[in-house]
Amino acid sequence: MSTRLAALNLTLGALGLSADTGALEERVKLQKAVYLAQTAGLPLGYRYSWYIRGPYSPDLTRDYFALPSASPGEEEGLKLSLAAKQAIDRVKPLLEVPPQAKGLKPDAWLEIVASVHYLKKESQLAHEKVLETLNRQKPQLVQYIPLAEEKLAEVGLLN
Amino acid sequence: MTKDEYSAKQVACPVHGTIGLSQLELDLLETKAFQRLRNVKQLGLAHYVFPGADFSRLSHSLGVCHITGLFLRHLVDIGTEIDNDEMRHFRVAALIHDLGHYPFSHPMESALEALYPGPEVAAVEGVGAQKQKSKAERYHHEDLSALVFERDPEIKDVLKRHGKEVDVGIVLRILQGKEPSLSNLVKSDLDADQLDYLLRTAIHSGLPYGQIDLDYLISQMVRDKEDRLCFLPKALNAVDHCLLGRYFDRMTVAYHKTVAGFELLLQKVISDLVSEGELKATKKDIEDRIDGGQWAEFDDSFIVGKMRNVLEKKPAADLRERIDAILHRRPLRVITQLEYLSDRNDQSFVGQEETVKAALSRWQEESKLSFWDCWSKGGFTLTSLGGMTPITIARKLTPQDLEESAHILVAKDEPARPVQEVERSLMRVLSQEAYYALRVYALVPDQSKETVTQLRKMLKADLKDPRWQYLSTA
Repeated sequence: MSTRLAALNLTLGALGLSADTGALEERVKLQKAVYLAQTAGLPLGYRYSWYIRGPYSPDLTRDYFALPSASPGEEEGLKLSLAAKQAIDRVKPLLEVPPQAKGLKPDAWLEIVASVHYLKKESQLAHEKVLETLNRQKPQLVQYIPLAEEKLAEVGLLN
Repeated sequence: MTKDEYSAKQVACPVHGTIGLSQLELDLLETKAFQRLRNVKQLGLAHYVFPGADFSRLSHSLGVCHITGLFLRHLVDIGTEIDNDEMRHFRVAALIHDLGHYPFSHPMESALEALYPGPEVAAVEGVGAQKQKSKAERYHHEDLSALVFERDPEIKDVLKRHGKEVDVGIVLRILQGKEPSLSNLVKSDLDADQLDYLLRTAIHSGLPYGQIDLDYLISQMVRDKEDRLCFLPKALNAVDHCLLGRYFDRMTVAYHKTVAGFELLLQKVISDLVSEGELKATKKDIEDRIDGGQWAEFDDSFIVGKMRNVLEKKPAADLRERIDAILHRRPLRVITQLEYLSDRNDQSFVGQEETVKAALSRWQEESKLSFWDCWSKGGFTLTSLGGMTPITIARKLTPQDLEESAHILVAKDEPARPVQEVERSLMRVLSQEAYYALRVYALVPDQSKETVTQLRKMLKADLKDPRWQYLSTA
């Protein structure tokens, strides 16, 4: 197992995410949770681009599918660095669907949270443009934008 | 868009006829960092087999800029709102997309990947991590293109001169796929980069496989309700043909046994140059080069010069042999190969690959040859994230994973569908199949048939699967 796969494996464990990559919902959650952890300072180095379903990293897809068949080598004794743990702890509250969004599935919640962050911080769109983009590309989630902004601000990822 | 903006200069191109450039594009083209691409070959060492395939990343970059302009102009013609600023920024992003390619492109990047760790080492602690942290990090070429555009002193001057015409941040966001509008114009199976690559390779290599119908593809391009660039159903055959063309192009050029062998050898020699202290390419080294205005000299001939420097120092015989083989075109020999088409879920390949990798160092020791390596393609398929994805992944693709595929607008009011999910597409059937190949190469200095025959005997004792082929040395 490479250091990159070992770091990913440890990250997924710390985020409490399932390694069951066969389930679509789990994979969407995983993509968005790793994105948010990276924005909080986790240095995994996955490059995210904008896709219709929000920020997505093809390299991460390749890596998490490679995890089950990777055999632990000298990376077996590795653990997460303090900075990595702190970044993960910071975004953990975002992984829970807030009571105000009751009924929304966890993967959909993470999709809107990660999308709002990406469009504002990475694409650097003004608020009106963020609304316009999300209205066009994911209208079913637009009502949760204010809540996503509020929760991102609570963990210090959005001013 | 103003009609005259892209007629400041006309450049003749064997692929597209005449390419019109704006003054801004022309000024970028004339910087040393851009002219450097004249000396970075698009296809690495493919011209060792196809003598005409020695075109540069400079001509390809002009082609990608031109195709991007055609895409956008068509979208404007069918009523899409794209203003002058957007057009300008997308074209500049296309023009500069390869600025950060290393000399010889992918072989050097692969060598650096093996030598230097990525940023993830900072996320972990432990014995292995300490070992890794002692090494410096590397740049991925996509990040490097952005860095050169942002930091090269001469490019900075050009951008300053053109003031409000261009916003560096917007160009970088397009380049990195961060712009939500028309995002798959930049990264998809049939983006401008892929299309120019196919056409240019076909014309220069003399092989017809990449001769796609660009004009028709563009004429059938639309935007779906989710803002995705896609094609009308009438273009399905052209899309299928394009993806098939890409498959044959890879098989014939990049995966050609001699070309692939030279690239493995070049990768090893670049790694040797770093070990010998002749070549420095960590993040810090690269940043110093750019800031010091020396990025322009870091091209293919720079690496060749380093190889010659090493030869002058009378290196160990094995290193001399490897460098000589690159400089004087002495191909590696395929000692054996396993090559077949099968279901994309084929699992038997992995075991074969592990067997070969475990035996390589023993074969090298027993044969006393200076270089052995294994070239591996574990499931190359016709559609994207298929195409570049290992077999273990390809079987579980979801709509999110398929965003890079070419899309067809099957019904006007619905999101477009990936081509491999369209009922009558050839890709629906063919994307389930994959190409598997393992080749064991050795550098046989005297190129003798007798030596190769001996080596084959040695391998036959280890590789029992009847699918292994032992070809003639021709």
